[in-house]
Amino acid sequence: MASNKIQFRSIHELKDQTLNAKLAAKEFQDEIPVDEFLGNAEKMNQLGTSRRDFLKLLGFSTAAVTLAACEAPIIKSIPYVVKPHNIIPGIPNFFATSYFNGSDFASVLVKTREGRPIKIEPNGLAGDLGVTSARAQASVLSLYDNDKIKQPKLDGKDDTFDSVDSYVLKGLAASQGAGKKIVVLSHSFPSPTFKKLFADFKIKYPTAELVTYDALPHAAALDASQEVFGQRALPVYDLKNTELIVSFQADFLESYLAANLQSSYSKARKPGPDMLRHIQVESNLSLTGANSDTRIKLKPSDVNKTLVEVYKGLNGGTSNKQAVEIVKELQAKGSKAVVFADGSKAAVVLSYLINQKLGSNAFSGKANMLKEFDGARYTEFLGWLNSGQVGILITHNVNPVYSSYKEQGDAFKKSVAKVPYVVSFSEKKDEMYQLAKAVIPVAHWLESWGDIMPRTGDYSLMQPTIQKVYKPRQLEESLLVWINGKNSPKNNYYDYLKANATPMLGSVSFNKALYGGFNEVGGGPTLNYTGGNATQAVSELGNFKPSKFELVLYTNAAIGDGAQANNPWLQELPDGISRLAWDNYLTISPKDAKDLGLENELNGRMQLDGSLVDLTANGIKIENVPVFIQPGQADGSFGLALGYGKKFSGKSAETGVNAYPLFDGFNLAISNVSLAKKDEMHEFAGMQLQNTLMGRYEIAKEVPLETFLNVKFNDTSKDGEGTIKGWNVPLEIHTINETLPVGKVDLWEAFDDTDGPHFNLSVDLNSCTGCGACIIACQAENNVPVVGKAEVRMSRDMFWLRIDRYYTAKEKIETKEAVDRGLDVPNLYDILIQPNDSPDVIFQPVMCQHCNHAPCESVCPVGATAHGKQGQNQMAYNRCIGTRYCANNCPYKVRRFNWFTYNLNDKFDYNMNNDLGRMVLNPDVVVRVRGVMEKCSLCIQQTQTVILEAKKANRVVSDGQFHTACESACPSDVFSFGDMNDKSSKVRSLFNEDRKYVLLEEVGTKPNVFYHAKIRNRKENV
Amino acid sequence: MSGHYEAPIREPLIIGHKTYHDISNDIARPIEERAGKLWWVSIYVALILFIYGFGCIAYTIGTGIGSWGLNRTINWGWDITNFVWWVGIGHAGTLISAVLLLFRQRWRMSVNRSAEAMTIFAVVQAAIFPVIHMGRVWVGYWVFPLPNQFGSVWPNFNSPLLWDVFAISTYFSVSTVFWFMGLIPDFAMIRDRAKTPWTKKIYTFLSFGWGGKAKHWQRFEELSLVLAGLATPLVFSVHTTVSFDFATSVIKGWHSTIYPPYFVAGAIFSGFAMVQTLLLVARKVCHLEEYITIYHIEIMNIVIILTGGIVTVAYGTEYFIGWYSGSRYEDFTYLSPGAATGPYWWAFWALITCNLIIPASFWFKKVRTNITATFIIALVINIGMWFERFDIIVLNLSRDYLPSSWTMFKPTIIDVGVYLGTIGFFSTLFLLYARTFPVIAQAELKTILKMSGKTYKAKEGDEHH
Repeated sequence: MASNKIQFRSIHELKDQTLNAKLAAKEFQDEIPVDEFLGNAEKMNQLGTSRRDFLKLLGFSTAAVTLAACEAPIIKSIPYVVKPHNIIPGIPNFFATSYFNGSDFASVLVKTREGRPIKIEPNGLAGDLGVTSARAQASVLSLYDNDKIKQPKLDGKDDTFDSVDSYVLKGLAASQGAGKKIVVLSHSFPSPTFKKLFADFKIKYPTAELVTYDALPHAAALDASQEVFGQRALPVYDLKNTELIVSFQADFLESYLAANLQSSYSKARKPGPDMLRHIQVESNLSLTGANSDTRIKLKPSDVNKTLVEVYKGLNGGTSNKQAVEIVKELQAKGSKAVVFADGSKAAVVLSYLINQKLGSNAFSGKANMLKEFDGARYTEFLGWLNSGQVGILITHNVNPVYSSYKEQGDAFKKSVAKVPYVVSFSEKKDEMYQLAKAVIPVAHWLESWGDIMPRTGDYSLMQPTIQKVYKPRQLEESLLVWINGKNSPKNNYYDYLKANATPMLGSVSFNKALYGGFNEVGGGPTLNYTGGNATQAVSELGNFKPSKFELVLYTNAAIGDGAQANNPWLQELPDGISRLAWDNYLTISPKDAKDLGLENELNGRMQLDGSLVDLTANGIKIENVPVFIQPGQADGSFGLALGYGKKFSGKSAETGVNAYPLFDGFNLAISNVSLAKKDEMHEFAGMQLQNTLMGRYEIAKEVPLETFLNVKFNDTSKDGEGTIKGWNVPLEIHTINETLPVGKVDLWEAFDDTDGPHFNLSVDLNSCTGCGACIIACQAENNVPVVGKAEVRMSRDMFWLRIDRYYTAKEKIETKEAVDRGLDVPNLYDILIQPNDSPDVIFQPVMCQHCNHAPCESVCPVGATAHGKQGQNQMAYNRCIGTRYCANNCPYKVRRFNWFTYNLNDKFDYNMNNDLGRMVLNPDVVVRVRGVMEKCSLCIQQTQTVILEAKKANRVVSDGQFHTACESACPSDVFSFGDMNDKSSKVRSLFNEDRKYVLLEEVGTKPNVFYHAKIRNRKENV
Repeated sequence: MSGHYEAPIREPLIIGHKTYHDISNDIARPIEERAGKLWWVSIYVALILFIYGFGCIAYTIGTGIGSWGLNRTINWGWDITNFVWWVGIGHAGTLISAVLLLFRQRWRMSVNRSAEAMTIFAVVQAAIFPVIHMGRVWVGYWVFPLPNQFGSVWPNFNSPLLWDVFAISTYFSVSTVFWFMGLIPDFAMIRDRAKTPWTKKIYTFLSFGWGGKAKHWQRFEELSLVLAGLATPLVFSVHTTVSFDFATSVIKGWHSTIYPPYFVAGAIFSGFAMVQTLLLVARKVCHLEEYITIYHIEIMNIVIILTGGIVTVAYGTEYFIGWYSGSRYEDFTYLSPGAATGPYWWAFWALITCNLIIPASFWFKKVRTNITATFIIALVINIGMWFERFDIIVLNLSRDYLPSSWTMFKPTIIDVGVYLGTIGFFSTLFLLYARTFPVIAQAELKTILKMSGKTYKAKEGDEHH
């Protein structure tokens, strides 16, 4: 029987049976139903508001405003009115994209929170192209650079894209009409879709020309490739099966052939019988040289000579003693050896040819296509400029005025004045900005669409991860506008990219390719040895005339070519070797410094001051260059970093001197250099002023490979000289009753760490190259403030993680003859305090050691720092009253005190002083207030997330899921982080390895961080 | 104060031919007379320093501890140096008034009042530093075990810094009570002589209705003994606790079991030096030469010899252990660029010179009975003991375990200002005290007039011979 009863869920539904359906239709409505209550004008007009009502409202609002004004300002967080379906507040989203800013490339993952990119992570799919350097890590901050141009400009005034486009279109038409050239001057842009787009542009404007200009063009290597491989592409090396590298001036752990070989280098350097041996012949003490097993320091002309001799030795014979030894080693290793050389075309050619001769298996045949500069074409372009052939010049994120050789920068300025229409894509109000009539802000790679083909067969997509921060527009989109006209529906670069990328991707869908970011699509050039004139190369190398002083220009891991010079994170990242921040300087050997009367002094605060000099080379004078005395610098040579002294590019970028006028674009080494000493001294900001271990070799342990392979680490027997043979003998404490392992003598009861995870972090000194990527990753992840040069100079840096660099002292007190000579008695500390002139270098990352018996915990009067259940030493900022007792009692000195307010304080005008810069802050980590102590937390915000996720999913966290920022970022796998209670975890197996030791074990702190000793593959032959 | 007989061989403690009335007049004179020019000049200087110092403190609290010369490695500098120095100075007073009372040392009666005043004023200065050295002074009260709304948040009783809080506050309160109790009969004496109504009112209030009855005296004597008994362990506990700040740590040069006795001896050493410095001035300015005699000065110099000797032995022991331990770190801290030949060599040798070499001249009777020499050496000891704390704190921190962290400390103008400010504050308090309080415990002194006064002693001697 059918029921005629009415079913209803509310009285409203009873009245109107269709109500439910109406409501259901609105349930997932995306737009705000504004019209419904404001749209009805008639109804609105009928609402009468009397004079009395008005006065009432006025009175109330005045009172309310007055009352509200009494409160402290509140920064409002605005909730989503309509929540985007893919964003859950508090949960990060990751996007795969490409880090490419014209100078560096990496395939990366970007962590965004509520639509803001806050952290760069490596893209595991991309292998060694997916590792992140310090610059890649820091680039997220460049997105939020407050000094950037925020608006399109015309005639120096803020204007709209519409009028800028009108100007450009007018210029394009005029040039077209006059038959003049339309030149797009861009940095290297290895994007297949951009290339296609430019071809389209050229169809529309046949006189269009694309010219490449790079500050650091790798022109010598490209020319060498042209000669040897017949192609303008750099060879890709893979050190996987390599057992010997001989490198001449090549800083391949920073940048060599537009690549960074850290990740394959560190894999090949795993201690064992086939461990990669590294010989470095160089003038400056580079990061790469610091990691080498044998380092030969020679001035540039002598490096060239040695390279030539090695070449000769491999092809006949040589009488040069060092070359003979190197040749012997190379020949012994055959195809498992590789030779790198940098600095000039001839050097690179010779290295290619030597590798050909050796049949080096490191040569993969793949091509690196990141650099496209062609000297001849650029010269041709300058010719067009000077002869007035250019009708419109569109520069794309380049600044030849800053980065050109000698007076070429000024000449460029004058030539540009002859061009009727100048359009510049600029980031800052730099020289190009000043020259251009129309300016379009450069879009950061995090707000751009694009694709990059970094090397043969590899294809990486770029997608925006944020709405445009200001009003930039990428070059590609602008070209579309200029091709299709304003407001054309075809002006969407995303559509263009998708259409162009899809065929390249083959069976993979565009969305899938975008999801992964990095794709292997096959195709592209392969390099084969087809030519190369060794005789010419040898004679060219001979043309480099030896002089009393020679200079080698270099780039450091932080600033590189200077593209991100206004990034305060990178400026504050101390150089791995000198450990100086916020500066470039002339490195000089101790002997030369003495001869020239140049000084480095420590003052009463142990702050470093250095002499200032005027440097002259090839008729170019650079004034006021500070001098830094660098142990390991070859006598007769100087070093100077590029990328500094950038004017008009923001506050942070101004520091240092501009060395580009010395760089002709090809040769990094310069002959005939002279210095003139000035009376003033320069104030350096140094992170580490005591450079040796003071005989405390147990802090940073180093073992020769021979010993590592042949001697048991805990062998307590003694050799003929009475020295204990074992190289990592466990420490013992002699008590009155018995001798016990150091961990067994204890005043304290152990914490129960069996329940839940117990975190440990392993640090492998053998892999650490000192590149600093971990430091920036830590800074980004944990909101570590930038304190500026003056405060770094006051030794008040805020780094939670630092990389200590030690030079081996003049004499080791462990050798028997040293002990016999009394080198372990106090007055001989004078010897230990000075580094050797040719020191060995060892890097040691130090962060909070998370002691199980932490000295900091017991001394805090308010218990603000306490031991966590998972092994961390935790810091409750809210509870801290700032007595700093904990920091005093920390044997590792890893605690950092907030001496001042570092955010929203005009005295610290870096990223944390403006709303934009603070967008990079990680919302999961609190920004510390003035007066509290802070330090490494083992990224507890990340481990807790992992634990909670696992808990919700009711599963066990498996090994490899716990990460810290430093561990994720490290290109060399230095860190291993994990749960010691997980029997199968990697960190647990590392804990039981022979090389493991604990920092300052005898203090009895029982840290949860442990180290692995460095192994040096030394042979005392060269 | 039992017994009215004292061997004639003992030196008289009150010279000049004094009667009870003379004593009253002499002690009340600085309070009743108008202040001299010197006093006004002194108090102006002291006040200027005081105000400047507190400006510096305000600046520190306003901008951050970064206005001092500290850094990531040396997190304590002049702040804790000054703290320990002032606490050390504040050691002599209670020792004189409590320990010497129990040992029935009658010479203490001429000096205990001022020594105690000095103690209390010095502890006030000392207490400033742990407070202002905190990064967040405004939550400094969290060190007290107060019931709170933060749940069961409680201070960390393992922390020596917390022990300091209790040690210093206990010491301060007991010393103040002891001092004030002793002042009651003297205030009553001033009250009885007061000529203006306000003076009368104030001293009436301060003297707590003292009537000089036998019962009052009996209670007075009993309370003295009880408080002396309470205060005596405090003399040793305060600096012992302060030394724990360092001794319980793991930093080389701090971590040392010798510290408690060494610190206590050092504190008494510096305390007596400060008593000498102040009393020699007060004696001259307030014309108390007949109460604070050469004999008093000599006897205090002998205490300095003794405590200075202990300190010397402690230094020797430290260096011996530094070498004997075989620890590279220990050895370095004590015997190397860390100290004697390092960048802080001047601080190290200032310490050795001021604390060991110069005070050794007190072994000569001529030197220790010479007022000028005593004054100069006492000043030198004060400087030396400041350097001792500076050396312990800054030197050892500046050269700690990992050479990569090594830095050095240099004070900023704010550091200096705060220190001068406490000196100004201390001087202000002491100058005000000298004009308003009876600087010698006259009531007690009167009890020994008839056995130790020169006149009476001479009479007694006549009778016996």
